[in-house]
Amino acid sequence: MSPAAHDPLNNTVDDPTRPNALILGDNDFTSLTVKVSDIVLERKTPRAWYVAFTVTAGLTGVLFLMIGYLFIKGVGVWGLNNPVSWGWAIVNFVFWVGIGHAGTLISAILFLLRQKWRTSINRFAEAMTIFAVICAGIFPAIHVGRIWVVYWLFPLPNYQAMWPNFRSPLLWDVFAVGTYATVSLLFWYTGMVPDLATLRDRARGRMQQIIYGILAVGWRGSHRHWHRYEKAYLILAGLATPLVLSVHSVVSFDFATAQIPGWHTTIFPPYFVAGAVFSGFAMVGTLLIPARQWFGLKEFITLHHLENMNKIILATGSMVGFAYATEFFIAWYSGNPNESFAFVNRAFGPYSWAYWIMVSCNVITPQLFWIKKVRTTVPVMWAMYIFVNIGMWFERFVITVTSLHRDFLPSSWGYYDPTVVDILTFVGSFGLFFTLVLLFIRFLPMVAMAEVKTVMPIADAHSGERRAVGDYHGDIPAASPEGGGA
Amino acid sequence: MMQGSAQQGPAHGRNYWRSLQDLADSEEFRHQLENEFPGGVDAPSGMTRRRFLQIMSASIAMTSLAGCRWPEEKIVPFAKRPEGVSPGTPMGFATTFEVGPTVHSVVATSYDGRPIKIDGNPDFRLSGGAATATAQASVLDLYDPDRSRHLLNRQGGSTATTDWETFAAWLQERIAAGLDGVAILSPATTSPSVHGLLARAATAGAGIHMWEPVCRRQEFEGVVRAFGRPAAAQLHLDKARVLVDFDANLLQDHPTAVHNSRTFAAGRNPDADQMNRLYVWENSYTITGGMADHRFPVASRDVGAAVWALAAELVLGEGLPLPMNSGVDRGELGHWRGHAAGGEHLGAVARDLMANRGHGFLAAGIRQPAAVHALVHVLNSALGNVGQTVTFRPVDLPAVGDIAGFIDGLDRGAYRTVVILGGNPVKTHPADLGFNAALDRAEHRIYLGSHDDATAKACHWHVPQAHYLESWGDATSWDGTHMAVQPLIQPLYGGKTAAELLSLLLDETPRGGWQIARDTFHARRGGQGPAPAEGTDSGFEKTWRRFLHAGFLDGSGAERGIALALTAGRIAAPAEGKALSATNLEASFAQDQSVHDGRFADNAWLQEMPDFMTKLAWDNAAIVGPATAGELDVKHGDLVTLNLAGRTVEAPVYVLPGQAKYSVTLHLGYGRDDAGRVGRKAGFDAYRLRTFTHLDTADGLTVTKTGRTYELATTQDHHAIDAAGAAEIQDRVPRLVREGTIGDYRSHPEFVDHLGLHHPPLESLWKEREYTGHKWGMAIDLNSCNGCNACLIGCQSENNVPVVGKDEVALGREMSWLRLDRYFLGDPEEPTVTQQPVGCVQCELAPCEQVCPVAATVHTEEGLNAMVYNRCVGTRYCSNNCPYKVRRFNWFNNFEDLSATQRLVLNPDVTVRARGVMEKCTYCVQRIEKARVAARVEDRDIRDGDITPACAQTCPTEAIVFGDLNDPESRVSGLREQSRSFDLLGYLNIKPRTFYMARIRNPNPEIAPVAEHGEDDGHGNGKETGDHGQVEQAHG
Repeated sequence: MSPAAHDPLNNTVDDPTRPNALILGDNDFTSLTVKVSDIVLERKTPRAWYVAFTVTAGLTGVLFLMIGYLFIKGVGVWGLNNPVSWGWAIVNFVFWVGIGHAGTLISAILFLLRQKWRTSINRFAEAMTIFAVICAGIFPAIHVGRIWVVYWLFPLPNYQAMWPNFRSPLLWDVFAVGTYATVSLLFWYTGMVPDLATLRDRARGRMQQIIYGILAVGWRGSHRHWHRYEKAYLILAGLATPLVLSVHSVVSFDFATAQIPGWHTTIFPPYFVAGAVFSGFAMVGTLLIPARQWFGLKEFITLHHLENMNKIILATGSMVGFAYATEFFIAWYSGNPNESFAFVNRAFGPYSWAYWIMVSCNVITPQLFWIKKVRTTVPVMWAMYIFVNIGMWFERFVITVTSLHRDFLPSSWGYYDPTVVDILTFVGSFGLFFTLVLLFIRFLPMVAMAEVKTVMPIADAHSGERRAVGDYHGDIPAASPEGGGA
Repeated sequence: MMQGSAQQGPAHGRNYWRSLQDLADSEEFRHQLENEFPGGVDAPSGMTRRRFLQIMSASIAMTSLAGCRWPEEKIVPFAKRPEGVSPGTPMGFATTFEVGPTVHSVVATSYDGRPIKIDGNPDFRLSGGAATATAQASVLDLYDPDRSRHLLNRQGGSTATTDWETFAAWLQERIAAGLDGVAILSPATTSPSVHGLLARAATAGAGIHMWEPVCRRQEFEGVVRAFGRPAAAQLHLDKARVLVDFDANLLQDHPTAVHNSRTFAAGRNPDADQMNRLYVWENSYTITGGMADHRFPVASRDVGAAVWALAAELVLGEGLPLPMNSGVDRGELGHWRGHAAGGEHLGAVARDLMANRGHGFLAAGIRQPAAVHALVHVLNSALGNVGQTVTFRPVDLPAVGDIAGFIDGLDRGAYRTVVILGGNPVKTHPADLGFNAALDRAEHRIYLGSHDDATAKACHWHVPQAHYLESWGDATSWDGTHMAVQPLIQPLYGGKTAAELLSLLLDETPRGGWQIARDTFHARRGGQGPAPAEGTDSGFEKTWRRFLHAGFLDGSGAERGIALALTAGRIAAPAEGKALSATNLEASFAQDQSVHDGRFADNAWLQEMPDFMTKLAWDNAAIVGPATAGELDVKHGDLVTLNLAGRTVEAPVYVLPGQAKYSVTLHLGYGRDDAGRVGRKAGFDAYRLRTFTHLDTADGLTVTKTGRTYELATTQDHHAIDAAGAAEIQDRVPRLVREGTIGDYRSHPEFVDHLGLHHPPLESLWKEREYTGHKWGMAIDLNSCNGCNACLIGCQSENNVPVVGKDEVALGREMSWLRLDRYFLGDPEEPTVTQQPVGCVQCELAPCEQVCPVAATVHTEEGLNAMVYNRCVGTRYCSNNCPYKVRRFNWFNNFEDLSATQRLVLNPDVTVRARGVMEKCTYCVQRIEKARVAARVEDRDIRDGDITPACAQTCPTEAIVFGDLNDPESRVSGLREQSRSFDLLGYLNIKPRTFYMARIRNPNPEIAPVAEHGEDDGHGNGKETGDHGQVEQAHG
């Protein structure tokens, strides 16, 4: 027996005689409900939360100060110039949108694929998706020169019958990201309704009862409710699934349909989607590991979950690495001298430092996940996530900036350096992101209680025989007429 | 002007211009002007637009109507239109802009009374409608907010504002006893009026001295030594087949540079039987060097040796007989034969000159000593070129002292009162003469100047100088033509001209500029005494008006000049100094293309205009060659201490390919800490190293690193290029800027097509639009373009292109709609260089249009890629997708800081772009629309030539041709059909409307071909176009 088997919280050791438990510890429905909802309702907010919130709220303030300064002075406060007209703002946009992919992937695709392990992390991932999309949405809006007419990007009926240009990928972006944000939000909220009802029922403060009551939209846990809820969830999952593929494909069109060498590449849609999932899972992991540690959720968000995520990171990271190689191959194979130079310049030009950061973080790091020890050691994997986050930001930087800074005419070659405003705006967007995460942890159930219950051993009618293989959502024990069964 | 004249009367009915002085002098109007115009313009609350129009209409009424007596009416609202004035219709007036000895005949466009644009005078032979960048930018100086606004009196450390009357009263009292003890220090001028007044002052006892930091004294002296009398050499470059330029920069630093550029280009047509060939010896790359077929980098001081070596080769090698009185010692020539400065190809050059006797031309630059000039004249005479490619116009040089004599007079106490007629000598004086201390000895110091600069601060009285667009005056062009200077606007700040100040000194009743110019004109026509009063002599009045109308007196110049006979005494050979080395560098002082000698330091257009070769804006630098930089261990942007004979100055290093070894070029006129807001921080002051004995070049310069760096703002190569990038540039440029030799061109006229990328057939994603009406297009002939920057300023002035300042240029945010791409090819020590003007090429399948999310950039039926400013939200996606990177984004509100005065220069026909909006070249769409309106009014079609964009209008070499590609008769269609035409990046299938004509070089077959990349590109004999798939050529 391996030493890991002695660890009651390690469910990553395969025992062929029995399926791995998805939920550990001696938990029943009630203990799950108590452990999750008490974080919101009963437990005193840890002092660390206040400290963290103060910091992130401060950074959010910096974000809005920077945006205010930008609005007053003009886009010139950033380091952009003539060859490099898109810089950190667009890099940050693509970065945040990419992060937003993990949520939908976990919610929708893994749901349709009946990957039951997703239930422990999907709430968190979905929340993160929403917040990342919020951060992402800020950048394309504020990066325009005349912010006061940014609404012209929307197809609003007007007396001049002046419509947007439907050939422009930026317009497709508006639709793609808008749709994605809407569906993600609906999906997240719909999935949360039973849990909100649980909070409503368990809340003792009047305000809490009223607010969670409103948010629970009258959920009473009746079979009819459950029936409709299941249908709605399935439909939303079906709607969201193509979006996982479409959003980042459309975002990649911003580059792929342009004709700048380094942008004009048909590989971009799949490459971007793989990269998005890659970065999204890394970000989920980055947040989840401290959260499960600090809020005592290791029984529900188990090492097995983390290992599964690491496997996805390994898979998508390899796809990304393969895409990098393919780009180089095509640049050479196409015989297009401009294209060839764009890639030589990436690797050996003035921005080669960015390129090699990208390659080190995105290609080398995830390959370490072939080693099980790396895959299942929490501090190590957390460090990997950080590398991947950095690497994926640099990937967008490399694509956006190094392609622009040297295009067709050498006379127009330039170099782009970010300004303090660029940097603080990006840092501020992390402030906003973490502020929203902290608020989420504090006020909403971070584990989907109702869903997790369905994968608990106790949920299985034949409990004891086939542990942890309960039919998803199909067979809710009627332990309680209300809530998720608490 | 042309637009205005169409409605004003006859075909050539340019409006006459003169001052209705009796009106202008009326007390009320002055009051109005002082209160409303000069003071009010800068106070935003001071005047409404309506009020402004009222005032301006008054000044138009007073100044533009010839022969029309206007009653005592001060304000003419446009509700009641003054006769002959159409509000909103621009009018053109011919006048003359003078920079030292260089005279530009220009037409100033006036819009509702404010001059907004300067163009070359199309009727004047030496300008032919083209104007230099400097001349075009001069209009901006008129509205410089840092110009002196008041007459200042500085006494005992305090400065008081006073007025002309007080000053005049003081001065007249002071000089009541005569002009003894008065010294006048004048910059160079060609004005006959000023010359006459100075001569009178000299007679009256004043000491007259001239100081011009960049003057042509040695050139005149050279003529005197060769021919025994001063004369101005008239160049006929169109007749020359072989040209040899010794540091002369004929296409730029010559009084007839515009004319030279045109005639040189005319002689360079590769489709003509003969194509001229240019050899250049120079230390720093100039535009003339850029046009050379063979350029030999040599230190400026060694150019003389190169001339001697060539002379030796011609006389001793090729047996050129020396004419009578040549002053050249044959024995001495032997010593110079094969001198290193001439290089190894001198024999070939000599044979070329011998083969083209009578059709050759040699010239030496103004930095070369008089003896070198004399020898060049001797060689021209010996080769039979005098009388053919060069003739002479005799001139009378005024007998004036130099600045050393001025200082000496002050030191001796001979001069107690000093009158300085401009030029800011406190900044520009030679460093070794103790000028400032001497000036301080004068009891009374009077300075006429446009700015409250260092000289003004060193003087007791500072009289604001009138801008030439505010002045009456005259000038003499290089060919001797009598030129008119006439005002378009009342002096904004009560400025006076040098002639008016001199008149105050000399005349019992001081005359105004108008009277002075009229009197001189009268005298020049042989009249005695003052000119007849207005309206008394109709004959005089008629000529005078014709003179003002044309801007010059037709026939007063020497178009051909005369051929002079040699009378030379012995011509001294150049002294050979200590060999140059890294510790004994040559300092070569050069006039600057932007600020000249410093006088345009406050001109923001010129400051931001990139130097044509270094692409530096807002700064000068110590220019060194790559090898020298390596030996000195300095890099681009290193701040170094320059030490010349104990005088030091700190300067940044600029490493320029093609710079002669051990020669450091220092441009004058920067480091003006006394300048206004624009010029104050630009560059370093090279005058501090320049001594009276070595005004042009000096040996013994040393360079020490300070360890610090300095940010230089360039518009190209914003950052040092790494090895991979540099290799790519060398690989890519021959496809972008296509060129070949005349041999290639004659044997394979279609060689240009083979220089492009080979690619599969191009297909469009969309159904392409058909252009059935007009189809505008532009041809740019790289064979003619020498990169003089005139088009850049023309575009800036016409299209209200904002100035963004050094920091923004350094970031890469310059706004120029048109840029000159400069590429070096080959050995960095002796590279070739090519210029390529690039503006928006108006792609038919424009990549920018497809990506704009709000459809702010769209196509017109005539194929213009139109930018809809008020629809633009500023995503900048269009700029990213533009393969030419010609789109410019307003990162900030670039007009925010402009005062109301500065806004007066804006062209009302062109939108001023807001913050956050993309902009770019429009092919001057406002001119297209004007021509369309004019054609409709006349019920006809637009004819070829009706429309000239600003860049094409001012191009001295006519390298830019605009027209209708659907009109088979148009010039541009004809050029499109030529085999030299090619599309830049045509393989992207974007179908640019601007196309280029390949550059053809004419190397001497005896010397190794210069442009090896112009060979057939390894594709066999170049005839098999079909076998190579489609070549990069999308014939429109």
